[in-house]
Amino acid sequence: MGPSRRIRYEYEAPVCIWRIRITKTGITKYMSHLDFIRTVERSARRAGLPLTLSGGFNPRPRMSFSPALPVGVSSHSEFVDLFLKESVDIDVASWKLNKSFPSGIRVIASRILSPNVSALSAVIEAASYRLALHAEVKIDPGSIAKAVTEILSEDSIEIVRTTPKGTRRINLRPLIYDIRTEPENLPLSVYSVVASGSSGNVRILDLADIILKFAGIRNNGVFMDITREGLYKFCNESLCLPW
Amino acid sequence: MEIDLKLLERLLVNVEKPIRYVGGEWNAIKKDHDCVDVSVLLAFPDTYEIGMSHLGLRILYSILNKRNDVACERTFMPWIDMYKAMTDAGIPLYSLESRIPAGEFDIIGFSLQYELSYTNVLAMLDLADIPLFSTNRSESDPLVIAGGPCVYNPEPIADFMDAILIGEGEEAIEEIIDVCKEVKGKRLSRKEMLKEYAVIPGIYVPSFYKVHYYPGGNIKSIEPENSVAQYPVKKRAIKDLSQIHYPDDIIVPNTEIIHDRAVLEIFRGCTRGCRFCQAGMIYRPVRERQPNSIIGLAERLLDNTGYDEVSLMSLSSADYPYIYEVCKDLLDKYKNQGISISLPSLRVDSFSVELAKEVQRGKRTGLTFAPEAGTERLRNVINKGVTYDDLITAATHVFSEGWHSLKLYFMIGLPTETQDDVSGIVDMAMETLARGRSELKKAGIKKRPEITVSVGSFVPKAHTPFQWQPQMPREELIEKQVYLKKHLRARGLRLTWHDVNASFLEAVLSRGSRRLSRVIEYAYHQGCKFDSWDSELRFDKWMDGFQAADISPEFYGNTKWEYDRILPWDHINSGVSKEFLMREAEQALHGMFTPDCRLGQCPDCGVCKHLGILPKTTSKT
Repeated sequence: MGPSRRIRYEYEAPVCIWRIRITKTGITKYMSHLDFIRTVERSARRAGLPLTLSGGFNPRPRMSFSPALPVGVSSHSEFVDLFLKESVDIDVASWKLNKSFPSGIRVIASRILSPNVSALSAVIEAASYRLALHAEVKIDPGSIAKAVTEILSEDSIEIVRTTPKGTRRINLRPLIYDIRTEPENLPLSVYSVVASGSSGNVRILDLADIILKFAGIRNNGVFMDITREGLYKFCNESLCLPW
Repeated sequence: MEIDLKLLERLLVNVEKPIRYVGGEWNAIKKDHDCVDVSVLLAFPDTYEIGMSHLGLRILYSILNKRNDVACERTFMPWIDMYKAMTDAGIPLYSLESRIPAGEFDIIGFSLQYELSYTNVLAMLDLADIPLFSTNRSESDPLVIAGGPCVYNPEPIADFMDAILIGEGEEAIEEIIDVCKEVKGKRLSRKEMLKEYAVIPGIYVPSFYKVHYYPGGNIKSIEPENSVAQYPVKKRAIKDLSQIHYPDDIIVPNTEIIHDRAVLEIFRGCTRGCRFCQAGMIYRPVRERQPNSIIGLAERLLDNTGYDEVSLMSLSSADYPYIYEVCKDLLDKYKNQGISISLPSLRVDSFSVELAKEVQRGKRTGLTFAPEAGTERLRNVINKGVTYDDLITAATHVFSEGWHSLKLYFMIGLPTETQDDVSGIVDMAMETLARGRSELKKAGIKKRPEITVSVGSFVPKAHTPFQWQPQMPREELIEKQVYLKKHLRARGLRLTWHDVNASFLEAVLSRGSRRLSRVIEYAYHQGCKFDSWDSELRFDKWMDGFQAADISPEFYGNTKWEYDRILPWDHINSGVSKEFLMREAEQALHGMFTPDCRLGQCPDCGVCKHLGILPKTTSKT
């Protein structure tokens, strides 16, 4: 007897990865990334999916997530990799998982992939967002349209980013791939595609601040509903979903 | 009317952890209020994370929502930032499920788990736009009720409550609903309505009792004012847990809460008889669940929640006769699924260590032992049957099994305490640390032992043998803390202690009479909220309140009371007789140990006789 009795779990090799694209809408937009991870984990367990466990003393179901969303931002495009010990029928598995998710989270597409595919964090390079002004906000839509035009005409838009390692200045302009207003959405929305990932990243709340700054509006944080619409990788200069 | 989510969202973007204010959790139940007869709002006067960790709330939520004629929803005390934002925006306290203002419910039930949450009760009533005092409420206001351990001395909050339930709520809450259904259509006056509730066994309607005082504040008498008022009010208790619904579909919060796991109550009550412990008196007798029922419930809980951990809860889980078998069964069943078991409140013995070893096969969290006092003499006084050797043997076992962190819980300011007893805490902690070093070395583990010594201050509680005892003056408690800080210094040793001001307030409110309602009201109006949070406690405001009301807090907190004095809670009957408590108080002073009745000898505490309930144990034969 002695400390040797403590059990170290073996890492289980997955036979496949089930990559799902899920929403994070409604009240679930207020979940932190950690809350979201825990919720997906518990939902997958309730759904009875054949998850593999990580090894070690405290085995956890193996999953990996696309980049974190800020609290308060909705999404139609969160990606999660579930490492499974047996393959599943994706229609049945999606149905089971949807029944187990709290309202606001839903599988909208999925693929079974080989366990050797590149990790989500390595694949994702860009994200698209829609920033919608609240209907009751009295802002001249023209000022937003003008801000967007000005942003496009700038060569450099610098922001100061504070990290635990210190502060540094970053030029966000080259990381904004596309930005345009959508006058057809009332009162107005802005759609933008920006860099997202390890080789360049635009925080969406920074972009929202920049738009408001260019429009000359003081941001008190209640002006916009922000939704992540898509996450992409580049395929020959064009965007495609990370399947 | 439902509060508009868009309106709320303007607040949510600017507060910490907005997810706490929107509900929508797995297993939460939202019903159409037009399709039920009675709506009940369970209100917990602390944050979401604390309130959602509370088992009683989950049990009542489940029992009430099982009924088709009831919609039961939840609300918690919004944190400071949200409270202010709601006040500024004119948004009232609302329920998480339907976002309906608290004031529109038929019944609001507060769970009172600790005295320092009283100002939050007032803050919530105020935010709900409900008059703070029962006498000021009109026919259109909800029925405001309370329950929980604090109500064994209901007097300090009596004036704020329309009715108070003494004891266990599972059966009584259904009777309250039935009465509510009956009175709803009758257009009774508030007083007439309360009379209907007052006849439910265990229900205390404070406004139906008159307290007479001697000059100086001593109570002369407590008298019922009408024929429906029960005297005494005897606590409600469940005869047999297996006959009562237990929730296997508990809500899974959308954010991490304090006890973030499936909770399974394996037995209720504890008869070890620690003389300071209120839970050990008021939850008597012991009623155990059957082992196979525990296994079945655990499976359903895990399936329905997706939690990876189940807590086998009770006041002393190692006392459950089949605890080892139940744990082993569950662990074998969930082998390779990453499911773990947690056991709160372990005893100081080797069996508990073996048990912890079994349940913490993989993940290891620290262990906690509670010797409570530093010497054999004082442990006899408090009836904590733990010896020095018990602790050192158990601690040695802990380290030899490879744990490297251990928490020890002690109290200072216990009745009869001397300097020797305080030094004893230092001796025990130091010896434990030394054992830790040698055992870890012997086992070839390169980690340093970590001992956390947590020192609380004794607070006299109603319905315990120490209810007549004073709390030690704050200056003396501080001296003892300073002594411990000075002497408990070593590598790997950490000392934590409780704020003496908070403990003092707790003592005053624990033994307070109805006169204190004015002080609570004053403190609340001066901005006191979240008094149990060290960062929020505004002790000076409370002291101003005592002065304004011309009440000496020391009279309630620091004075030894004679046996013949009428206690503020003398009209409340916990089942445990006052004679037993007095006998135990005397035994304590003589250092005489009273064994647990489960070992065969009945100490005649009176609970079985008074309640007509026998201990229900699954004893091994």
